[in-house]
Amino acid sequence: MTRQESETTFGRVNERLSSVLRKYSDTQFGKYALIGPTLFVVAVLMIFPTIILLSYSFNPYDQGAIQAGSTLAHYVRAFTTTLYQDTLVRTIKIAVIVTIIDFVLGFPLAYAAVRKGGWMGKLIVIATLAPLTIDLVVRSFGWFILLNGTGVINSTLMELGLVTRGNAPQLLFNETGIIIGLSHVMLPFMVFPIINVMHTIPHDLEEAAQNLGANRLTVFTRILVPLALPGISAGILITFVVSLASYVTPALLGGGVRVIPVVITETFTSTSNWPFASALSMILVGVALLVIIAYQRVLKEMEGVGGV
Amino acid sequence: MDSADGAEIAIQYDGVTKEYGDLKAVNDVSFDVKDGELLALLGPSGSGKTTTLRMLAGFEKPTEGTISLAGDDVTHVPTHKRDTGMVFQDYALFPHMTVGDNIAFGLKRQGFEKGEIQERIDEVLDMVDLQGFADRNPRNLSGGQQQRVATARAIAIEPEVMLMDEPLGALDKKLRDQLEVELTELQADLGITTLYVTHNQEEALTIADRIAVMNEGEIEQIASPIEVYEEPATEFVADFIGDTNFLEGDLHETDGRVVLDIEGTEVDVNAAGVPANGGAVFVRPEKMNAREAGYTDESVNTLPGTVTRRLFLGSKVRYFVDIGRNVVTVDDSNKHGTTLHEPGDDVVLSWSVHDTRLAHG
Ligand SMILES: Nc1ncnc2c1ncn2[C@@H]1O[C@H](COP(=O)(O)OP(=O)(O)OP(=O)(O)O)[C@@H](O)[C@H]1O
Ligand SMILES: [Mg+2]
Repeated sequence: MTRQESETTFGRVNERLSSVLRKYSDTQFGKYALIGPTLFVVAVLMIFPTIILLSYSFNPYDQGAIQAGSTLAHYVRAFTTTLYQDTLVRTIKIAVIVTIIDFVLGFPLAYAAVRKGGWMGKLIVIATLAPLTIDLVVRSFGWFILLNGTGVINSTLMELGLVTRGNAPQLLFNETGIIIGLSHVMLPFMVFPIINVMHTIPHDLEEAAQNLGANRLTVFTRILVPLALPGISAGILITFVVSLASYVTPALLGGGVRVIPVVITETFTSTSNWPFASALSMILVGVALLVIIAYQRVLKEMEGVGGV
Repeated sequence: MDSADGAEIAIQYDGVTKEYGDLKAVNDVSFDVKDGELLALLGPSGSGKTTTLRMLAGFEKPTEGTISLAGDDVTHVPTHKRDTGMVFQDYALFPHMTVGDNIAFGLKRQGFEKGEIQERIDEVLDMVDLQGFADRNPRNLSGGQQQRVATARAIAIEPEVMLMDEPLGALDKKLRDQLEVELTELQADLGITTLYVTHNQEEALTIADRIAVMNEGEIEQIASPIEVYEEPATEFVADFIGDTNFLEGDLHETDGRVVLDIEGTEVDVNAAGVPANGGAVFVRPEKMNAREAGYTDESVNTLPGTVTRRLFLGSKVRYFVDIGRNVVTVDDSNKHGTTLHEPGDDVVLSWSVHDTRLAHG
């Protein structure tokens, strides 16, 4: 089959399908039928397991076994033990820093991708997207090569005479390592929502603002940010929440420095204390939910004032 | 800086060129705009009008040449430090701000007090006849109202010059005619120097003090509307502005007269000589009269022909007359006593030597 044929066949099927969808999505039954599969997946894969975890988190754990009954002991332990307090604070702190870094890097990237257009824009999109096609573990090992004590970055710094072996910065197996790795992983989640919304902002609004005497900073704060707010807020929220919950990158690049998801995994796999691990999970879910709710409140307020 | 007639020069382009890769969008353009003058940049699509305008706003940097504003070279001054007020074709109103906030935007950048800003908003809304619109959302306004807001926003900052890129291009004919009048009145009242881009020749002829006709990045002629119409400098200008009959024939000089020989009939041309690269002889349709066959008059140019079509347009009658080498358009005014010719009638066209123009190639 030639390319032409396959395209038209595909096109025909596609057209047929969308006409069927259009027809049925207008009926009550059609609507449910269409979102049904998604609802089913969300229910089975997300809500159901969360409910199981929630119920586990109240089960007493005694003598190496899960007991019947109900207790808040795991939550009390998580919030009163210095180790877990510190880990929770660290986890949130890292997510905040990663979100800030990705916004600072991601906004200009998204802006340039849309406004420069041409090969430059495409290059930015591809460079941002490409890492997603590589497995997380492989990517983390890439950072390992760059960041370790005698890695590419430190040996370059040493060669330039900026640091010596003695005071070379520790870039791996600590918070710095986690932050660098996560910022890389999360960047596309910041960039793409902003690219989407940037496409809807006519360039001549920026020119009009400049023409009225606005410098770059004012154009950014008074025109771009308010108009790009839907994309910016989506990017920030996704980056923060996913950073909060990420496991692979912190586990590989954090060394002895742990975040909550790492602690949860270790508790699940190396002890049988599932109730405590469940409680930690629910705390993380709680933090994420709180942030999402607070965030939506703030956004609504901002819309109320016209976003200026 | 002063021009020859004593008026201050507000805008000066000096040898300005803008290249995009191999394309010369604007090619070695030089002109002045006097203080308070409205200069229209007129030309077909892609002739470089917008690019010329955008370089004055600072949105594009010239590849070569200098641009001065009120005597100061601003070629390398960033946009936000140039004293220009721009009205965009699609208005570029900030959708997340009210009409009042749109107007206040520029005033805030200039550091005005809240009270002063409020006064100024009311003042300019009054000028564009939009009293009480300050709290409206620009998205809910009609095209004409948005256009007025865009104008108000630009004049609020009292710029040295106003830049307009097809400001009425998105409006229907009736509204355009009305706003043409209002805009020119406002511009004259404020005495604000204006560079006005349009591809609509009628609009340019109506509103401009002077017209710069652009073609392929170059200015073909810069003159008053009357001069551009009556004495177009080049064949392009003659063709682009108004309806034009080009007469084909052999152009030569005999005893001090410039003559066009159209298949044996000699036509006198209003020109001092034949330019080296030839030229195009033309007559506007309304300058010609279609007379009965056999009409003679030694004091004017005459040419026999045959009517091929007649259009009765109410105030005038338009004939298409075959004169052998080509078909010309003749507009006769519908005055009392004018006899109408029928298609197929033989006629004699007559027009004065004065109106037989020569445009350079
Ligand atoms: N940013 C750009 N990059 C490349 N070429 C450009 C750019 N801007 C304009 N051009 C080209 O320069 C030429 C002049 O464009 P310009 O927009 O100035 O024409 P114009 O007279 O305003 O036309 P129109 O009446 O269609 O608006 C065109 O050939 C256009 O394609
Ligand atoms: Mg244009």
